[in-house]
Amino acid sequence: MNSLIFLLLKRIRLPIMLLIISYAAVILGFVLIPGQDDQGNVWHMSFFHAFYFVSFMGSTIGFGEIPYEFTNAQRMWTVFCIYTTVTVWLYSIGAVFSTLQNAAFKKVLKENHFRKQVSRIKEPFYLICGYGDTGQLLAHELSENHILSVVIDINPDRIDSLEIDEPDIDIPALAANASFPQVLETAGLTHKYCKGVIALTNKDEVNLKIAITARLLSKERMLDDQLMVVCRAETVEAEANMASFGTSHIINPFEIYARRLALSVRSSSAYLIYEWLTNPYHKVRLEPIKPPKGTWVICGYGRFGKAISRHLNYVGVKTVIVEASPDVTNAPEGTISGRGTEAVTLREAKITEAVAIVAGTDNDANNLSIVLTAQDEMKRHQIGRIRNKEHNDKYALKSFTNKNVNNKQVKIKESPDGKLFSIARQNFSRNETVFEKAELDFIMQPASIIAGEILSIIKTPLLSTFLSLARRQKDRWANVLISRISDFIDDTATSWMIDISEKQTPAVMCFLKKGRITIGQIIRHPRNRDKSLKCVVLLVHRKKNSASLHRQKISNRNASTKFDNFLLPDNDFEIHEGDQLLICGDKESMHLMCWSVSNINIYNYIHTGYELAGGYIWQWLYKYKQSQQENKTG
Amino acid sequence: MNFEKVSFAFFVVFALTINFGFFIGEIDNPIHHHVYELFAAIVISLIATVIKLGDRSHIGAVLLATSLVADIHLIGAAIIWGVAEHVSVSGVTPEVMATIVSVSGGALIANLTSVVLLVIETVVVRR
Repeated sequence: MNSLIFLLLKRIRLPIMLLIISYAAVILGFVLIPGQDDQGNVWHMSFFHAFYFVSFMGSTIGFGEIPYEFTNAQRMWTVFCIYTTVTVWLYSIGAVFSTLQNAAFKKVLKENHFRKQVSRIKEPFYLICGYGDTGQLLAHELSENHILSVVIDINPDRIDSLEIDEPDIDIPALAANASFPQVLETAGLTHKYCKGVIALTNKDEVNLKIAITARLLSKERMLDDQLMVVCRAETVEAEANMASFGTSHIINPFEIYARRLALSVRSSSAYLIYEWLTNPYHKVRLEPIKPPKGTWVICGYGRFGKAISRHLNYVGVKTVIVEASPDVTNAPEGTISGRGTEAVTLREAKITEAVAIVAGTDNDANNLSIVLTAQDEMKRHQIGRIRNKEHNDKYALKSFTNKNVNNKQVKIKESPDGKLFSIARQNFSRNETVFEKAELDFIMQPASIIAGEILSIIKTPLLSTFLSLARRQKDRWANVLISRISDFIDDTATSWMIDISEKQTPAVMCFLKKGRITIGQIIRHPRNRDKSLKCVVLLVHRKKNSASLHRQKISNRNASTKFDNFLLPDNDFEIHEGDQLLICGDKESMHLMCWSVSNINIYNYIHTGYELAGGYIWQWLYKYKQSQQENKTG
Repeated sequence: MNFEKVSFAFFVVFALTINFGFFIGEIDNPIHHHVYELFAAIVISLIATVIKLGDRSHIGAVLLATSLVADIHLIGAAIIWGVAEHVSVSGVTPEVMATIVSVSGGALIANLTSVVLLVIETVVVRR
């Protein structure tokens, strides 16, 4: 604020000076020039009258010649004065406006506003660096979940679009280079409510610098787990570099997607669970998609193609790679050179024998072209085969082609309806409508993958624990869980966490002190306790008590975990103070549960079946009634 | 030597001297205190104020403050004079004159502080 006033004052110093000097000269002139009063006597204007006259003359108001009519000498002076003062006024006003309109001044103004906004924040917030597709998505999701975020982006247009396009969400935003430590500090990196820094710029280098800055500027808070640093990394080297100095979460969209794809190939039901829990953007899919096992054609051997082929090879899927410049990308042997957008290249890659196509180049138009060409090629092949068959039937060439027909039948088994399983990488969210129409089985959107991952880290940190445990389970276990969840899932699923603590669940704590509470009691419906909420408790995360920890230390020195995890606990599982529960269910159940665990009256109803009376008198009556009943039964 | 420094010192000192010129004399004698001198003192004081604008150093801030104090005093004196002459029935009596001059005396002290600060700054910088 201070610098702003000084900047303004400095700029308008000359105009003010001119104004003072011209006024002084003009006033002095009027006082010195002799005039005449109504009786014709010589009369000198006083300073007061002169100032009065000049004030309305200079500002072009013009009340006339006051208090007596002017002499010709006075009028000559007035003519001169009108031109000087009016010019000086216009110049001064112009100078003030041009200062206010000045780009540098506006920038200072915005920066000041931003700084003030940030310093006034009184709730936990996340600092998002980079407001591209991903940042936009993330900021929206966060604001929908009532979590505040602060945005920095180097491109002023994006910041403007934030202010213009979304007037209903109030996100402090600044157009500045996030790789400057000072900018990060202004944006609240060292603010005591800053919960995390999320580096989403499209340059690994900048993200790295943000991570280093965060690490150095608020070391203590990072060590205390009060500040987390989440980085987007697109190369393995950057990932390793970030990990080396303790970045909390590193998100590589290509790796994540490849891992998911491999999971879906290996166990489609496990993948379905994964999708239900981590994907907040799509409608819930009830049937698991089963990617076929067979040869996959991968077009583009960049970061995405590399990750995909590595993970697919790991789960035992054969891949054929098509790459425009195999030498640059270090493609493996047997790579077909070409872009994959032409039918020739795809034919060379034996697309008709493959079961799936992955279009993974960094060009959206090419990706769509690859998938469409491949599908066309497949259809043509199909038609050709049918024609061949008809031809053979017609001319009764059975004996001649017996062997061939057998061969074809094998092929038919591979792709029964001749449809390719197609996956395309969508680089820009603005191309969404085209990709949706393109009959793709999976669309890989880096932006939504990153945003979803970060959101789940912020909202439900237990989810990653659960998923890593779930990955080790058998297919049957996943099927059981799917059947339990699909009982109630119809539209959207969400997952949330509950801490059994005085702060978050005061009602539960009150009863926990008196006796035992089980999972089944917690998930009862607050409107009708005979029903239960539409949700499943996925995980109970419990701190090991010191005794058992000690015992474990003796028995197994390698066990470094301080927590016990209970996957899918039964309804009569007993909960303790300090437990963290991960729950999956629909949104309504989430709100109802948050209500019931924090409101003592509601929880009392769930627990005992009686509605607790509000005031002292009613409470007394209630107790009296209870004792009467006890007397009767006793 | 630089023109900015010269004009700066010029106006700061000039504001003091002209203020002193108005102030000196018998306090309640209108003959000793001319209205033109008060006018000049106000104009010079305002110019000195504007010149001091925009300096972000600490001493610059104090200089600006002293100038603002002088302005308030002098404009106050001018308003008293104007009201006495044009509005009140009695006109400029020796009592009113004494008030005007004593108020301008306040401005004199402020201008004096300003000059002292200027001298201190000059001595400290020594360039």
